[in-house]
Formats: sequence, structure tokens, C-alpha cells
Amino acid sequence: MLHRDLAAHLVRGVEPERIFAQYMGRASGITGGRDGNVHFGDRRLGCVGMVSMLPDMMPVAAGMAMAFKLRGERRCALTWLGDGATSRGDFHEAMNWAALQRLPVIFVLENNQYAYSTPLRLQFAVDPVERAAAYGAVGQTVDGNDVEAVFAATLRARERALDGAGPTLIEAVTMRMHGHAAHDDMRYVPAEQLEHWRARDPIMLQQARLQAQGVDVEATRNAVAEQLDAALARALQQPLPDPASATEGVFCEGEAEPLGDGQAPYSGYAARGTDRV
Amino acid sequence: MSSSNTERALPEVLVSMPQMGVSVAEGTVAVWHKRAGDWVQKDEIICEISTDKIDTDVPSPATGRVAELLVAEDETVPVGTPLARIATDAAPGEAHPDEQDAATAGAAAADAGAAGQATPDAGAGQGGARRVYSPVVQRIAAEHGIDLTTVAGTGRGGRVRKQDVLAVLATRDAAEPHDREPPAPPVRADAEPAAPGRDRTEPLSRMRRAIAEHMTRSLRTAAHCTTIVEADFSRVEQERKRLRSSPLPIVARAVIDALERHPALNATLEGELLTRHRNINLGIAVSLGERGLIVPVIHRAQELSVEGLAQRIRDLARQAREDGLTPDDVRGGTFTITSPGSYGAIISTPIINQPQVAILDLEAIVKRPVVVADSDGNDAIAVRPIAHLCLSWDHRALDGALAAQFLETVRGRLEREA
Amino acid sequence: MTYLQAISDGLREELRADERVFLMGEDIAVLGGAFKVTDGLAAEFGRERVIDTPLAESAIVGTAIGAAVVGMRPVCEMQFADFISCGFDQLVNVAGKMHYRQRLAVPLTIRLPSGGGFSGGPFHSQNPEAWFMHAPGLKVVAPATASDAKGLLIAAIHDPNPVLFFEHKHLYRRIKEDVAPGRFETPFAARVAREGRDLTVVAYGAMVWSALEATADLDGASIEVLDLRSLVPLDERAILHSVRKCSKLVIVDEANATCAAGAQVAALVAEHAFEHLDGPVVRVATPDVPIAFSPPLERALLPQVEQIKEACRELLEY
Repeated sequence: MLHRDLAAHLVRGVEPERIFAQYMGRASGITGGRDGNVHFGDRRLGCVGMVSMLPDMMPVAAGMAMAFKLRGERRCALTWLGDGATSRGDFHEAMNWAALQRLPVIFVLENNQYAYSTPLRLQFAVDPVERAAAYGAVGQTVDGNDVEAVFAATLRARERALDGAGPTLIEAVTMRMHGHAAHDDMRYVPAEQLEHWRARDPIMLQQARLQAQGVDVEATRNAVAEQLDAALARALQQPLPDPASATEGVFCEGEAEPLGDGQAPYSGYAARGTDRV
Repeated sequence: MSSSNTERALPEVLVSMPQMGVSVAEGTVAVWHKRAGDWVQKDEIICEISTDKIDTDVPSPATGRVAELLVAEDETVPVGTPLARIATDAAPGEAHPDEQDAATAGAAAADAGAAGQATPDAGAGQGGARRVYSPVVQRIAAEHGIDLTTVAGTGRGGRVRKQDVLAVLATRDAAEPHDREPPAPPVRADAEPAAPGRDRTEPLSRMRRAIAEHMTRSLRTAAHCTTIVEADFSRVEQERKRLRSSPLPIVARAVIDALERHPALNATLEGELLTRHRNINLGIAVSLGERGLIVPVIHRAQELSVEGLAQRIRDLARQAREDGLTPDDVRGGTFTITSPGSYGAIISTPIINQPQVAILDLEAIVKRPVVVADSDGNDAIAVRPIAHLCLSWDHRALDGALAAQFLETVRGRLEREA
Repeated sequence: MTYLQAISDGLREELRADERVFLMGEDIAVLGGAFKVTDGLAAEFGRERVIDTPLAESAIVGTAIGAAVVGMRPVCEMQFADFISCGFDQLVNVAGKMHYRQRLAVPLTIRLPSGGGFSGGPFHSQNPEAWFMHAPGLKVVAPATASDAKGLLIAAIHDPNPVLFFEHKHLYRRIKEDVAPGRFETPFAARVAREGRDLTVVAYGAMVWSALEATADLDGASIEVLDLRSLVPLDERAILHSVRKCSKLVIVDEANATCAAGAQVAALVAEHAFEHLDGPVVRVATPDVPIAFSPPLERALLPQVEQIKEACRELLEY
């Protein structure tokens, strides 16, 4: 599994402290300061770190799925991409390849309305999810701000993958609520569009749902905030990497250790038997 | 420096006013370094030009004789204007008086001006350049105190080449051989000075000190035992002829197979921690003659066939002799083979390479009469190539039965399956 | 055994010995490859391990990376080395940076039939080795002999890193020699193709043979020919050792001259063997021009034996 989705890493069990350290370029960050922000993956947790050219990860995920299929394992690969990534050739090559070989792979398209400043209408004439059928894959649109709907859609895609029915392209429709990066004031987004989406905040939606079930959301929220504050404080104590190590590790010198198995201890979902994602 | 495509020889080549930048339309000839009739090498500076922005040297585009200067000094002409003609079908040494000098001066050489004529890198101005020497020539001259102006050059245009200074050195050495002996190593203050026929005392080399430390530590550390078997090398001899190699890679392969069957010998013992290794990293002792001995390691040797082992052993031995081993090449060994047998010895008790637990010594293969059984089971005497396999092992890590079983496996592989 | 058969043999040995090994490429299964390198392998090992792919180089490299990181040993074929430009991003940005960023090994081999000399034209003749020498995290090898073709290929498959294996098309059926059976590795290091004292010629791939031919009899001069075999890692020790001995160096590159492997060799020697040089470092390389189709044009571009001979002769006399 290869992702840019921060929450996915947390669900996989990456400690928040290491993520803070990653953002601050500390030696204890997941890449030890070799890469920044969300460009990381903990290989022991079955995660391949994404590269900036997001659609590159689609063939890589398809290749992982190929290996699972060749070895007869009940396991599937999953990767994320944005609406911008659908315009590049690797989107096409991976969709075609994965559907052709009926690979157990899931592509989650986070359609957040903008590729940096470029809106959807300047990106494509045909909605990417509609293209899925043309490749022979399943395309499915889901409300990207509804956590449980996304979970259910992914679970269905996973069942299909493990049953040998091939790839699924899940389009999670959502909105990017801040700039492309810290420097981006997002003045190209109309205020009313932001207001529309602000009213549909995914955290608020889920909170309301949980509260209706009698869950004490406030207590959970406080506990999480406390954990994060502690993690941040610890991360700030971590040393920066040793400059003498800058040239190390370009090549693997010993045995190649493959990617670890994927478990998601915090998803609340128990995988059946030997199933692995 | 010549580049990819050599130019096709044309009878005449023009030297033109070069383009020295997009905004420069014309240039002035400041100084001619050549006159009509001079011999010029390709890339040799033929003239200097100046513009309102820069001054620059113009290299000759070809080798040949300057046929005509078309633009006078201090004359300003547009970019692209021909400045001179060079006849490329001419030969050096004709016609021009200076040239005759150059051809002979190269050898005698004191006249720097003349010799410099044919030196492409010659730096200085009009009327001849200084003589320029390549880095290697300068280095050898400096190391041996040779005055280069006295050296006859046999290179192009009398250039002094490496072989020229080496020739001077050889002549000098032949004349005064005793002065050129390498300096004696430092000796103890109270020792007699080294002289022919006397004893000589000197400190151990760095390599010998390391070997000394390692060997005595091993003898102090391990409970050494040596077990010896005899093996019939008939099959090995056939196999090595086919492979055109020494018997060593065949023995190495047999040892690897035996280690896979008896992993307790593919181990290291450090203090009270015994590690059995998954990979077989096979050390091969390589003699460096008087200098000493080094043990490069073939990592993951179990993945290599006999041919692969032969190649790795050859490569590592070559690297060892050329001082080309890296620290990684000598680290991480899990078992060692040594084979001093090529000098005729038939039995020895090797010292274990710490922290390994065993070392196998392959001794000379010698033809001996042995008792063999024919196909009917009758005993007979036959002549067979026989060698001793001497295994030193650490009694702390294993016991004699296992050592014997291991040797038996090696022998079986060599006699029946090699 | 020919150079081509040696490559096939290496693939077969690895497919037999290691079930993690599988092959991917365009037309490699049913057809047996454009050059027949994989002929018969699909029949022996099945279509699951010898996979015909769509015409999608980026996906070939990308999926191979995915399979490699989860423990497989993919060996991909580019039909022609020229086509690797379509998979460039996957190699340079995904494979090459993976281990540095997250200590995840990518044991991947890509076979690239390269080189000219048979009127292949601008899209079937290139030697793009240097593109990848410049990208961190990728190893680059280029055998000249049949034994090295097999040994380097097996070593590439065993290596835990992405290795680009440049096999020279012009050598496929021209080079024939005894090749050892079984599995053996050729180290990623240079080989002295001929020992000499007076001048070193450094080359790799098909140019090793041109260099040997050009210097077989050069007015009695003793010429050392060094076959690089591996460009990343570059065997700096062997190059410097030879140059320090001979003091004169000619570098032959079939690739376009600028920033080619030979340029790196020249830079290395300038930096570390300056005081041993007895003449300028001379390069013979293809000019920075696409490889033309028509035979006289192609000959005018690719380094010819005569040119190498002339360069050596000039430097010897220097």
C-alpha cells in the first residue's frame, strides 16, 4: 500500500511522534530526514513511500498486486492519487495493465476539485471514474467526506480484488480546504465553494454520527489532543540527522528485506484469517 | 585533445576571425605568433586578437605550414574574415631555417625557444615558447633530481616523454648501481648497520604485526584441535582439468556443501555467544609472498557454482596482490580455507581465523599407492593422487565427532561427486 | 555459446534456481523476444513467469518495482534500450531513490539491448548508459564477452538494487566463446582485456572489440585494453592502476560524447592520476548527433577501428 493519505499511516500504526519528526527533518523521522512531509512509508508496516509524481505509484501498486497473484496470496495493494494524477500516462498504463491482468489492486482517487490551482474543468473532458469501465475495471464514486461510506466502498473493492475480480477505481469526492502547500493562499477558489464544503466537514459529520450513538466524542478528542501534544514535545527533542550520514544508503548493501505485511491495528476492522492488505 | 571525428585532410585550411560573443562583430589582430612559412600544430596558438570586450588566443585549426598571413597586426576585420592560410599537405622540416633547428634542437634541447615551437600547450609570447613537460615527466624528474633541460626528447617536436626520463634514469642506475638501492628500513638504534653478509634486524611490517597479533590471540582464545583425513583426488583432478583451474574452487564447493549439512561449523564464537550463520561467507587465504597473508571473503558463497567460485577466487587473489581489496572484502567470514599445499607440504595444523570455529587446510596432492577395491570387491594396490585435508576446530564450539563427520562429508563430495 | 545464448542461459539458470525470478517484456513469451533472447523460456517456465506485457514501458518498470519491493526478482526486457526513455521516471524517481528514502530494497534487473552498427536508425541504436550513471541509486553494467554477459546478468539478478544491464545487439551473434555452465557471478568491476605498458585504452561493450582490433598491432607498441564491464559502480581503482602504469589514455565511447561514461573516466583521471599523465587524455566517441540510418552516415558517426588506431598512434607519438 502506497499513500499520501496521512490518516492511513496513522491507522497503520505509524507513531505520531515519528510523523512530526519526519516533518521537522529529524533523524528519528520515518525517512531519517532524507525526505520531507508526507513523502514517507514505513516499510515494516507494508507501506511504500510515495514519490511526488503521484501516478507513478499506480504501476508500482499494480506490480505489488502482480506479485501477490503470482504467489497465490490473498492480499491486495492499494494506492491513492489525486484528480491531477489522472491526466498523466501512468494512470492509463496502470489502469489498462491492472484490468488486463485482473490484478488485486485498489486505486483511490481523491477528487478534491483542484490540482494546485487548476480546476477539474481545465483537467479533463471525461470524469476519470467513467473511464474505469473503458479499461475493464470497476469505477465507483463515493462521498469522500463520509468516513463510513469510504470504508464500505474500500471493503467492497477489497472483496472484489481478493475474489479475483480485478481492480477498482474509487473516486472519493471531497474538497481541498487549504492551499496546495503552506505558501498557497488559494485565492483562486471562490469563497462560496469553500463555504459549501465547510458545511460538510467530514470530522463534524462523523462526530454527529458518533454522538447520536452515545459516544463521548469530546473525551476522545481531548485524549487525542493530549497524545499529539506529548508526541510533538518528544519530536522536538529529537536530534537532527548527522551531516556525515548524507551520502549513506543510496544502495542496499546486504540482503534485500521485502516490504512487511500490512496490518491496520487502529482501523477497528479485523481482517479475516490470512487476508492482508 | 582530439575529439571524436578526425578531420579529413584538405590541402589548405583557413584561419578566420572567430566569433567571440553574440554582440561582437569585429576583432583586431594583436600579435602573430607565426609568420609565413612557419610550421604550426593543430591547436597551437597562431595569433592573439583583441576586441572591445576581450582579448583571446586563436588556436590553429589544423597542422601544416603557414602559407600566408592575410591580415596584418593591428588591423581590424569583421568576424569570419580569413586571417591566414595553412597548407596542410606540406611536411615539417622543409624550407624554413628555424625548422631545421627545431628538428635537431629537440634532442639537444637547451634552446627552449626552438623546442617549444611544436608544443601545443606552449604558453608564452612571440619568438618562441618555453618548453613544457607533462605531469608524469615532472614528477619523475623531481623524485630523482633530473634536470629536464638536459634530457633529450623523442616525442613530437622534441617533447620529453616519460620514456625519455626513464631512459636517463636507467642509464644513471647502470652507471652507479649502489647508490640507487632502495633505502634500508629503519633499524633499531643499537643494531648493527645493514651490510652485506651481516645479520639484519628490523621491526615487523604493519601487516606482519597484524598477523602476529591475530594468530597469538587465536591460539590464546580457542581450544585448538586438528583432525586430518586423506582424500583421493582422482575425480578432482579430472574436474579441474575441465575447468582449467586449481583444485581450490572444487574443494571450496565441497566445503560449502558440507557446511550446509553441518551448519555448526559455519559459525562464529564470541565470548559465550555462538552464532550459526545463514550465509556461508568463505574466507580464502591468499599468500602475498614475503609481505604476509590476507584472507579475502567470498560472501554468500553458497549461491555460487564451482565456476563462479573459481572466478571469484581468481579475482580476489588478483585484487589482494594489487592491494585492491576493500575493507568489505575481508570482513564477515564464517569459515576459512587455506591451501599452502602448492609448495609440497603434506600436513599442517592451521590456526583458526577468529572468531570462526574452524579452518580447513588443503595440502599438496601427491601420488601414492593405495588399497582400492575392484568391481568384484577384491583388494588391489593402485596409484592415486592423494591429499590431506587438515581441519583445525575449536573444542569450545564443537566436538571431535562432528569435525570428523564434516571431513567425511567433504571427502565424500570430493571422491564421489566432485 | 554466443553472447546472446549466454544471456538466455543466464536467464534460464536463474529461473530454474530461484522461484522469485520472473521475466516481463514486450513480445518475450510467444515470440521469444525481438532478438530471441527469451526463446523457449515461456515453454519451459510457463506464461506466468515469462510474461508478455502491453506496450507500456513505464508500467513495465513500475510494476517490476512493485513486485521487487514485495520480494520478487523481476527481470524486464526493453525491446530496445532506446525505449527506456518511456520508463525513465519510474527508474530515476521511484526505483533509484527508494532505498535512500526508506531503506526499502528494489532488486530489479532491466535488460536493455543497446548499440548501433546495423542501420537501426535514431530509435534503435542508442547507448543511453550515461543517463542512468547520473541518477543516484541505479547500477549500470555492460558486458563485452559472452561469459561476462552471463555472469553479470546473474550478478545483476542477485543484486538487491536496480541494475540496468546493457547488452550490445551488435555482439549478440558475433561473439562466441566457451561459457561455463551453471550459476556464476561476474563482479561489477573492470577486466583487463589485454595487458600492456605504453598506453591504456578504456572501453566497454562493443567498443572493447574495436579497441582490441585497433591496437592488436600498433607498430609494436604495448597497449593495455581495459574493459570497464560496470559503469556504476565504476572500477576507479582499475582505471587509475592502468593509467598510472601506462601514463597515456585513450577512452572509447560508442555513446554520444558529452557527459558519456568516458567523460567520467577522463574526469577521474584528471583528478586522481594527473601526476602520472604523459599526454592529454584522448577521447574517441560518437559526436552529439542522433545515430543516422544510412550506412555511410552511421559509419561516420560511430567510432571506427581506424579512428581508434589513429588516436592511439598520435598519442603514442606525443
